[in-house]
Amino acid sequence: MNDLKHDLQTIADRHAQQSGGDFETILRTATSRRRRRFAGVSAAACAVLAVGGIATLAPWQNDGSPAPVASGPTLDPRYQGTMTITPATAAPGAEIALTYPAGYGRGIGFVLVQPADGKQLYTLIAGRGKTKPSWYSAKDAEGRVIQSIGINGPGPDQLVVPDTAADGTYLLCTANAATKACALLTVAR
Amino acid sequence: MRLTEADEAALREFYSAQQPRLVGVVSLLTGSRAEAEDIVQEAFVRLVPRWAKVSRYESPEGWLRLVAMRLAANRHRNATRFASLLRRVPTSDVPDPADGQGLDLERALTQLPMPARQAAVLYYVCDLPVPEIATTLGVAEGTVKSRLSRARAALSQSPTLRGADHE
Repeated sequence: MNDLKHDLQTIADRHAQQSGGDFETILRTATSRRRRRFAGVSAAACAVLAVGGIATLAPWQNDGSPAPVASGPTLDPRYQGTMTITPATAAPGAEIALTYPAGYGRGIGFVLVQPADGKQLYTLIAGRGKTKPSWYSAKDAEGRVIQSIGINGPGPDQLVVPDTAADGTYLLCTANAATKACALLTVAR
Repeated sequence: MRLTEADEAALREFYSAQQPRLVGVVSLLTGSRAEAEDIVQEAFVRLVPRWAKVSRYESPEGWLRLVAMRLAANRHRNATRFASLLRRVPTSDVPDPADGQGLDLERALTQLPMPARQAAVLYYVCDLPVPEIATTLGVAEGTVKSRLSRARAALSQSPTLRGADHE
């Protein structure tokens, strides 16, 4: 089994040598989550104070200090320039166009991901020919089958923003491309 | 918890030392380096607020590896629901720059059930002994041995290893 051990370690080493990552992004993301948690706690504390104020019929005064503002999700530098969404802000049901650097290969599947925890919320299927773009929520995607279609070139790929997507900023990524491409998509009604 | 300058410097050093290695390990679990990079990044994000505590552990890298392995297993569970939907685009259409030596073995590894894959990676790549793998995965030592046996049998069928001498 020394061959197996050697070969697996060689593969792991190859991936390690080619790995990319950014420490600053990690710090930023961790700080952003801490702020969001703090903002949530602050909101809850404010609600408690407000209820207390009403109960005592005492005027509740804001001390004027600004509430912590949660900064929006940022795109991992690894994915900068891998994909462009036009428009970057769209309403549910609206069509968006994805473009890529020349020669980029991908399939017709995409995933809409919650940036905070990487949870996949929706699968989006690009329109092809007469087939219109479509989407499935994570819970409805089970058992669905699509063709594995390889596409090369700059695009555009047409997608539709899921009707049920809540307002917010998401990470939209290729689902089955050999090299992953991602960009931020903001859903706003 | 905000990091002190000294903590941040130590964490940065830890990141430089551990990130590539962990991506290599997790890539074997996920079959995708991009996915592994995402998972390792998420593991480090979770480490940041706990760094003051975890850095005092005997093996902070063990903590990080465990978090990454659990994240990989969770994503795998979610991904199986999309399995038929998200089949990889054929490499004839889209060449994978990561393709190369060991691809057969890597494919064989991704065909294994995740528990067997975890056991194989921890044993063969991370050099952990069976009792430690059992503790890490929260299963009995006998379970680890049977998973390793299954993994060994499946991986020995890989063209990369076929024909080589095995124990």
